[in-house]
Amino acid sequence: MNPLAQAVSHIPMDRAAFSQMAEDHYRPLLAYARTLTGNSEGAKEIVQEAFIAAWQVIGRFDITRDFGSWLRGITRNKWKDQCRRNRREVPLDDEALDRLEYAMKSWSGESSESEILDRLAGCRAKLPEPLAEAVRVFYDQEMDGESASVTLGIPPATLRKRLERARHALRLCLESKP
Amino acid sequence: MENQSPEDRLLGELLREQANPTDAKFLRSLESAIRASDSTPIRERKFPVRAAIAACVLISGTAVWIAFPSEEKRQVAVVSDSRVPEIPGRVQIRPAAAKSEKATPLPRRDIPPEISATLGTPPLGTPPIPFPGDHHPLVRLRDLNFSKSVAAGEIPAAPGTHWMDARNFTASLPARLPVTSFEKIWEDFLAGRSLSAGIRVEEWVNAMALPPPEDMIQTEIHTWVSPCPWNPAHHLAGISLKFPNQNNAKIAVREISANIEFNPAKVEQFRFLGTRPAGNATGTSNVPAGTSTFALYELSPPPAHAKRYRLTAENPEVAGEWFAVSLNHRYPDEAKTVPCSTPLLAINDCPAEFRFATAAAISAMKLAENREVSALDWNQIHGLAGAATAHSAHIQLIALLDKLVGGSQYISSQPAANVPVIPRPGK
Repeated sequence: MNPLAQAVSHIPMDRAAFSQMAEDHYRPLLAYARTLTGNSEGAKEIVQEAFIAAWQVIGRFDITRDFGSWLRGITRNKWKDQCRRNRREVPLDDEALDRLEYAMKSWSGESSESEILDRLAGCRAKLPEPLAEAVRVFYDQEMDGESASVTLGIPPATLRKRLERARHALRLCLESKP
Repeated sequence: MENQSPEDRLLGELLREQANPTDAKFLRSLESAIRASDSTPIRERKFPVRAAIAACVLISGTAVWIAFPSEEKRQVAVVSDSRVPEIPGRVQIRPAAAKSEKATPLPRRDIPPEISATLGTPPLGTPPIPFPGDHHPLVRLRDLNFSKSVAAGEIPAAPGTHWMDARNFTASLPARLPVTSFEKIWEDFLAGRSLSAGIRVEEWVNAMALPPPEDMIQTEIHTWVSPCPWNPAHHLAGISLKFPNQNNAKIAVREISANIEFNPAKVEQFRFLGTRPAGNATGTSNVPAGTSTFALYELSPPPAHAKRYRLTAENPEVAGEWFAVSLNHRYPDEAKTVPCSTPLLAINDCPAEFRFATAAAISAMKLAENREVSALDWNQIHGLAGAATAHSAHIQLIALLDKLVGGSQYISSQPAANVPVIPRPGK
């Protein structure tokens, strides 16, 4: 066995445990990847690559550390590699990536990052109806701003303001202790 | 609605994911892909039989062609290299220049003698590498303009080609660098692929940074200066920044900018080994708690005749300093400047962090086919690194070097003396 194989042969997480971790983390990770890539298919591709890479080097993962953060690091690197391969400029600078990382950590609070979507659902339930309605039409039904404002019967500026207020309220809620 | 902040974009994507979950089909395809990567170990891929037969035929044919040359071929070959004495009846073939004998692995702490000879020894009576924990006032040399900073894009992509004048520039030290290309090479190594693509020297260097100790309570700056292994007239400056992980804070330092001022009496020109990541060249950034960064600079000295008069004109208190590193940040609010008056240390007297950073820099430059380091072979680089600590990146580098040396199969699982064993923080 070569030295490298020896180094990675001590695997602290078995296949079943890894599958469970993948199931717990793939949805927040897809949302994160879509933020980077700006499209759903590209996000799925790099998330899949990230999980494969993670499994191949799982022996190096320190189980006392945050699995979600580790996966995001791999995803980020995959995305940067993809940008370089396609000779595209990396559209988010290190500062923006730091802010995303900080946001993911602070929004998950004390709970596991895999629960961030459940926490978000709880926070959404607390939104006043006009804001909740704006979120529903714009994000859930994935309408553009113009169509959403027509559907809701409000001017685009009002929709923009409601969405801003909704996001602000959601961020405050996520950052508060569960 | 297009100009949203990164956080708003992330929140939007989380809202979409929460409302319209990605279907379970994706999870199943993910499982299949992971299973497929399990069942096809790329390292053990065998050549198809047909390819092996074709290779044998090709090699035999070539051998016959060389062993029984036509007269015409023989004459062409002889004319092409008249310096090689002719042996009647045989084509003269120049020996392959790059073919080297199998390298013998070195004991981990040994420096090859030819490198030791150029490194010298530290002056007697000099103190060990200090880290001044106290706050030091900013030291500026008189009559010199340090206000101009290195602007983004002024350092070209290829390391080893661009030097900055120490009189006219201070350098912005990147507070945080990615380790992408080191991780990428590691994955390529695991998969048995070529190791030559996408090398970034500064990322390799930074990957060797040891994480901060768990009990560290404030940001630390460590500096070292050692002779440059590939150019005995030059020096290498290593700068390590470590950010504490205390009070469950996610961010250790906010809006940090780090600058280095070189003492022109000792440094005429300097260059950052590697390239500066785009977007982080002169700006400020937040640094997550519990992280560390490492940067290497190559320093070229002023001519001896100029140094004599420059020294007399300067503040004698700072004449012994190589450079000063200053950190400015919004949180915590105390700015910090650390002058580096470290004596020159032979590289094997430097701690593992510096040795591994140097070995990583040379390895990356060598893999990127930088001619400046062509005189150093893999065995020598292995010797420079010394024993691996328990730090995973050090173990990875030693494993890579083992592979490149083609010799030892040994990885030390023991930390080197005087190197604390610290678990690596998550990235």
